[in-house]
Amino acid sequence: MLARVLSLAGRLPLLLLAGFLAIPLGYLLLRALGGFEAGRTLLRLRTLELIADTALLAVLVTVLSGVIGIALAWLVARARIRFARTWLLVLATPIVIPSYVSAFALIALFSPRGLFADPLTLLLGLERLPPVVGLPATVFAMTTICYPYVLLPTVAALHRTNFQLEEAARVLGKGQSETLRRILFPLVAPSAAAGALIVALYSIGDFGAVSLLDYDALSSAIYARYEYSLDRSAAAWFSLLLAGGALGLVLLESWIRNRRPVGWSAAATLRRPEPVPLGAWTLPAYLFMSLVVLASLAMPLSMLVYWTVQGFRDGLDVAELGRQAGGTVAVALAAGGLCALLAAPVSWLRLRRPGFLIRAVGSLAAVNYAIPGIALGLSLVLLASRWTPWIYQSIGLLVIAYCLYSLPLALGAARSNLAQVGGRLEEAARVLGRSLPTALWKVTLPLARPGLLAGAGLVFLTTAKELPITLLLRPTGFDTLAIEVWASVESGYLGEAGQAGLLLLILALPQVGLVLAGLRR
Amino acid sequence: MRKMSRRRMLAAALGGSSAALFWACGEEPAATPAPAAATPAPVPAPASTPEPEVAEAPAPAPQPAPVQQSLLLYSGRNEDLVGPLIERAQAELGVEIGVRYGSSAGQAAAILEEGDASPADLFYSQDAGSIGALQKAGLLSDLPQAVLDLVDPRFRSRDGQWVGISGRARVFVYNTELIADDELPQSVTDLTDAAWAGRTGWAPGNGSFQAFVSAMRELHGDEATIEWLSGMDANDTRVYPKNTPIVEATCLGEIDGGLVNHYYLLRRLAQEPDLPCANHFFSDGDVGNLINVSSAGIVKASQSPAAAADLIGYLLSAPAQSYFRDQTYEYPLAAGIEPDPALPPLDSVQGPDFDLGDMDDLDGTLSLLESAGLF
Repeated sequence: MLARVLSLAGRLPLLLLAGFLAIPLGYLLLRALGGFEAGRTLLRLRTLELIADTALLAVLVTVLSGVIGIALAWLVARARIRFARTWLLVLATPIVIPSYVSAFALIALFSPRGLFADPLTLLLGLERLPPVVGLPATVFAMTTICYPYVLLPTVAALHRTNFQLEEAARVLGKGQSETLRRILFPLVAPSAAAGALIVALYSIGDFGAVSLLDYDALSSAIYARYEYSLDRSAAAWFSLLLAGGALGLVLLESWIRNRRPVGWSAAATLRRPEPVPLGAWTLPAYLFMSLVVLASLAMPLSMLVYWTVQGFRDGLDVAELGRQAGGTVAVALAAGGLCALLAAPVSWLRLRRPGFLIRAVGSLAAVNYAIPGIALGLSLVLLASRWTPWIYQSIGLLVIAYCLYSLPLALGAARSNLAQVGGRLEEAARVLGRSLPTALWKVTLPLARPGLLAGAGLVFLTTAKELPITLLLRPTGFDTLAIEVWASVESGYLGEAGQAGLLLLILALPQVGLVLAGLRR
Repeated sequence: MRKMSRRRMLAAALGGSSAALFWACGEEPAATPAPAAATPAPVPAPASTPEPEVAEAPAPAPQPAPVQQSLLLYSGRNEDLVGPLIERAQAELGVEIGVRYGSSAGQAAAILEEGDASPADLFYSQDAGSIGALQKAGLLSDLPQAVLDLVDPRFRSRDGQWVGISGRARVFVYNTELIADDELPQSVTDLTDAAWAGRTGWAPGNGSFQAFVSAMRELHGDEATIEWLSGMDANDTRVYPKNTPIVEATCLGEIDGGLVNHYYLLRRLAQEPDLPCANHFFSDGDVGNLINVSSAGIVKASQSPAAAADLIGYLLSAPAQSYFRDQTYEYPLAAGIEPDPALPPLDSVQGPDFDLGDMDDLDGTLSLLESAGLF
C-alpha cells in the first residue's frame, strides 16, 4: 500500500527529473526544426562518411579500452601482483586527464618536430616522422584516458563476485583459460559493459583530441558549425544524429546487461581469494602495466612537468592558482554531491520499481553524456537567460549544468552497488516491522553509500576537467584549473598551463582514491 | 628579468629540438583564432604589469566618474591580451568592466541564444565573421557616427553596427633562400600552376583561411573557388592544422612557402631575426591579400550603450592602438598609429574590394570545402 502511494508520489519528481534531463534534446529539436532546410546538410554522402568515421573511432576506442581495462582489472584484483593497490591507483589516475592534454602530449613528443623526433628518426631510419594526425593517434590519445572507465567498475565487480565459483571450476579440473572464459567473463561482463558504454559515449562526443589530431568525426562537424559558421541549426541536426547513436549504445548496453546470468552474483565472502600465480607470465604482466602507465600517465605528466619547470623561472602565482583550484574543487564537489543525491533515489527505483519512466530517465541521462558540451551549455544559456535570469551566469547554474552532463556516471556506480547489495536485508527490515522509509534510511542507504561516493567521485573527476560548458556558463571572472590550462596554452604561457595541469592531477588523486574505496566495498 | 626568462623559454619552445611545442605557443586552435596567442617580443607579464604604451596614459583616472557604471564585455580575444587594456580603460573611463572570456564563436552563440535577454553590453570579436552573425540576427545596436568615423569604411560594418579594432592581412610567407624575388606569385591563383607543385602549404581547417575562401567565393564565384581549391589539392599542397606550423615549416625549408596571416612571421622574427623568411603580399587587389579585422559592437540589449561606446572609443585611442601594434603585430586601424616598420602601410596593401560583412555564408564555405574533400 505504502509502496503504491510512494511510487505514485514518486512519479512527479521523476517526471520533473526527466524533463530536466530532456532539456538538451529539446533544445536541439527546437534549433533543428527552426532551420529545417539546414537538415538537408545531412543528406549527403559526406554525412555517411562522418558517421562511419565516428563509429570506427568509437568501436576502436571502446574495444581497446575494454580489453586493457578488463585485463588490468584481473591483474590487480586476482593475480599475484606486488603492490596491487598502488598499481590500481596509478592505473586509474589518467581518468582525470583532459583529452586535449593527452593529445597535446602525443604531438609534443612524437610530431616531426617533437621532443623525440631526432632519436626516433635515427632509430627508424626515416628522413622525417609522419605527422601525428588521424585515426591511430586519436585512438591512442583517447584510449589512454578512457580505459579507467572500464577498469574501475570491473575491479569492483571482481571484488564483489564470488571467487569461490572460480575455485570450484578449477577444482573440477577446468583450466585457467576456461575458467576465465566460462566463469569470470560472464560475471564481470555487465560491469565492464557499463564502463564501456561510458567510453563509447565519451568517444563519440569528445572534441578535444579529435580536433587537435585532425580526425574528421561527427563532433568535429558539429564544432565546425558552431565555431566557423555559427549555424546552430546545422549543428543541431548533426548533434541529433549523435544523440541517436548514443541512444543505440544505451540500448545495446542494457541488452548486454540483461543477459547476465541470474543468481551468480552472490556477494563475496569475507575470505580474500588466493592470488593466482602468474608463473612465466609475471614479467609480461608487469611490462604491460608499465607500458600502460607510461603511455597514459607518464607521457602527459612529463609534458606538464616540462612546461612547469621551463615556466618556473617566471615565478608561481600562488594566489591565482589557489583561486582557480578553489573554484575547481568547489564546483566539482557540489556537482558530485548533487549527482549523488539524485542517483540515490533514481538507482533504487530503477532496481526495485522498474518502469518506463525510470528507464527513460536513465537513457536521457546517458544520451546527455554524448551531446557536445557546447550544445548542452547553449541549451541552458537559452533557458536561463530568458526564464531564470537570476540564476544565469551563477555558480548554481554551472553546477546544475555539470549534473546534467555527468549524471550517468553517478547512476552507473550507484546502481551496480545497489544491485550487489541486493534487497534481502531491506526486506528483512520490513518483515521485522520497520516502515519502508526507515528500512531505506537504516539499511539500504548505509549499504549503498560506497557506490554513491564512488559516483560522486567520478562526477568530480569529470567535472574538474570540463571545458566548453564551463566557458559558457561560469560566473564572470570565475576560473577553473581546466580553463587556466586552456587559456594559457592559447596564449603560449606553457609554464602556467603546466602548473595548472599538475595541480589538477594532484587535486584529483584523493578523488581517485575515494572512487576506488567506494567501488571496492 | 622576468620578461627575459619567459622569452627565452618560449624561444626554446619555438626553436630547435623542442620546437614541437610551437604547437602550443603560437596559435590559436583552428577553432578559435587567437592572435595574441604567440609571444610578442616584449612579452606582457600577464595581467600584472601593463605595457609601457598603455602606461603612458595618465595613471590615475583623470576625471573620477561621479556615477559608478558597470559594463559587461563578452570577449573572444584572450585575457592575457585584453586584460591589461581593460584595466587601463576602467581607470580612464571610470567604469567598472566585467569581462567574460571565451572563443569568439562561443561568445557570439551565447548572445544569439540570449537574444533580447542578453546581459552583455559589448562583444569584442577575434574576426568579422562572428560579429557579422550578430548583426545579421539584429542583435547589435547602431554605433555613434563619431566612433565609426575613427576607422576607414573598409574596416567597419556597412550598416554601422560594428567597427574594426585591429587588422590582419593574409599573406604568402616564403623562404627567401628557396624562392627568388622575381619568382614570387602575383596572385594566390598562381599557386595552382605546375611550377608550385608540392612546394607550398595551407591550413584548410583554419578559421582565417575559411574567411579568405568566403571572400574568394564572393569575388570570383563558387565555381572558380572550387576549381582553385581542387587545383591546390591536386598540386600537392601540404596540409597543416594551423598557421604557425606553416611558418615553422617554411623557415626550416620543408616547404617553400604557405598561406598564412601576416603576424605569425613577425612574432617569429622577433625571437629569431635571422630566419630566412619573409612575408609577400600579392599584387594589389588580389583576394590573397584579404584583410580581416578584430572587431567590436554594442549589444542591443545593453542598458548602457553610451558607456559601451566610450569603451570602443578607448580601444581605438592611440595608447590602445599602439598596444596592438606592439603586442600582436596587427595593423592599427585608428588614431594615425603607423604599423610595425616591417609591414607595408595598410593603404599600399590594397586588400580586395570586399565587404567583410558579406562573409556571413560561412556554412556555404564549409560545404564547399567539404565537397572539395578538404574538410
